[in-house]
Amino acid sequence: MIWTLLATSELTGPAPFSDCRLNASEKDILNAEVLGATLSDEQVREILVETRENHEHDQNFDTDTLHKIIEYLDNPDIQANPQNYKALIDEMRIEAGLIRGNSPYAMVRGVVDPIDDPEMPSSTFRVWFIGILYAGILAFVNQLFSERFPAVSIGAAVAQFLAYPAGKLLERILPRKTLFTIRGRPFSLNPGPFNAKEQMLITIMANAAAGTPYTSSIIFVQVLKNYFNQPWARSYGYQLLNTLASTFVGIVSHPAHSL
Amino acid sequence: MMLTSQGIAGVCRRFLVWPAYCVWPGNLSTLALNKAFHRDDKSAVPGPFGRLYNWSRINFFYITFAIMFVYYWFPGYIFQALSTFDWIGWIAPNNNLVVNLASVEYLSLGLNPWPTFDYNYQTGIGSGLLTPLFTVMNMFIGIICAVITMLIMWFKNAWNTGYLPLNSNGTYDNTGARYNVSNIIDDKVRFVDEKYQAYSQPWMAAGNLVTYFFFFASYSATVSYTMLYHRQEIWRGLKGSFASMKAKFGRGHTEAVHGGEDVHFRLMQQYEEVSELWYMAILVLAVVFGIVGLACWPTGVSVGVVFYGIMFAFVFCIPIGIIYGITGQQVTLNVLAEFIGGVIGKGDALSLNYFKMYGKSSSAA
Repeated sequence: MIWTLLATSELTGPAPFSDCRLNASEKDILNAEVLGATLSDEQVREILVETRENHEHDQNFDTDTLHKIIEYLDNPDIQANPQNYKALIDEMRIEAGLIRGNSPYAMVRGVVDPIDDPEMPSSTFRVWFIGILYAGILAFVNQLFSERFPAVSIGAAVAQFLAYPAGKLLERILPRKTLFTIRGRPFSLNPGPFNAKEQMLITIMANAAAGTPYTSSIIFVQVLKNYFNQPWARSYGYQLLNTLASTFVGIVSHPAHSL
Repeated sequence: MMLTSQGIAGVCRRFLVWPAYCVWPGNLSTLALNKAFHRDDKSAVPGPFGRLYNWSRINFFYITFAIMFVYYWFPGYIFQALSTFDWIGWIAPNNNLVVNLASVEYLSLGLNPWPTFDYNYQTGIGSGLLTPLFTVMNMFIGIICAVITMLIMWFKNAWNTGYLPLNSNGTYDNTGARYNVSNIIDDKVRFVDEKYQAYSQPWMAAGNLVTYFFFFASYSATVSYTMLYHRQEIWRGLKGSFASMKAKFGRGHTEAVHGGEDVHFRLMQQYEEVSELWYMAILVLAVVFGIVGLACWPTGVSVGVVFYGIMFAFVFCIPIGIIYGITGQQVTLNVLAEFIGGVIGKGDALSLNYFKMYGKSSSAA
């Protein structure tokens, strides 16, 4: 009980800007305020109960925010005398808006937008051209130099960085004319400005190609005379089949969903 | 990160991609750069010294990029000793104990409060900017425990580690020389017991032994952590899986049975999900390729190794994925895979390699 009282006095004390307390940017707070104002008290409570259930043991969730949520949900005095807890109640309304309309994590809010434009072109000619080119370069360089000591490798971040000038160049030089329509969608080599989804797709393609498959190590020790000395492992069919098999059984894909 | 499209991913996205608790901290830098290029909103954010900052993201990126480019010339080329800044070793280069404990080089422990000025060395076990603080702290405590264990073993000469370097990953024979594997195998790279008895038992350094302790500890910890803290989410995900398969046999997905408070999941719902059948087809393809690849060439490896990999994935993919998604750290299965593979493979080195490969890559990103 003493703990609760201490926590309460801390919460209702003089507070700095609300955006500093909730660890969100100005714009996110404004959006959350707008959304929070449309929620009823029951909805706010419902969202926070769900959040507590999902994030109570979550190391990435902000501890201060979690304590405030628990305080808001568990202190019976807040229901009885809401006038004494105005700051906390207002803050929880914003927090509920933030959770409903954005990500519950400050680090995700910082880099991912809570809005999406489904009409933004994504699988464009530019993506496939730059993506396949970069994937090829990264795969070639990384595999060739993987056995050098120390190894030389180019990461997908380099491809992501260089995709921007390449995309902008193609945006400048490719013709904008609509060539034909597929399933009611116009197809053009150059559908407007180079966008975020295109750059992310190129990055994903380059990332998938940047790693060297585990089989390459096995094949090296098989072929080399001072190790296993098994020249039959030079067979392309053998290398290709086993590499594809080991690559296909894996599980964790990069969750590009979050874009 | 090598894997592109994977067989078991279709089942796993329900546990590892859709729920909001999967932050995947390692991906945030990619998203940040993307946002800096395309959606730079320049909104003010609270930062150090209690101030609000409204620099544009891309300017911040270019400035740090330029500083890093210039800075790297020093540890990289101009004064390479900044990379392995072994100042304690330079003070007492002939003191065996000091070099073993504090040197940053030469198979020693590197207990040096300021071991490097090179960012690439600092990020050797994961970027300090991307890895959440609780993960870094966990790793730090783990390293302290490992160092204490190593020192006790080394000073007590447990398993003869006192005769070997403190922190080497090599294998040694009974004379302290590097173990020569060629001495115990036949021309088909198979283990020969008579040769082994005539040569030597393999000995490992304290650092390498403790590494293996911690590998096995991390496997049981991975499974028990998931059972203790995430059984509800896994159960909800499984129920959702069955419901979705029942409803449409793998086409589209059902409503948010896993806690739909995440806005990004709701945004993605307007796109059609890739059918689970595609993932299944890729898994079948992997099995076929794997069996043909092993059976049509004189490998001598049992095709059962492909199913061994899949079995590994079904046990470990969700626990490992959840930990990866939350902490940004990946538990690799190579040690467990090679131990079991070594027992099954009965002294065949190529067979061991394939067991290790399938066991590891079936649950790796």
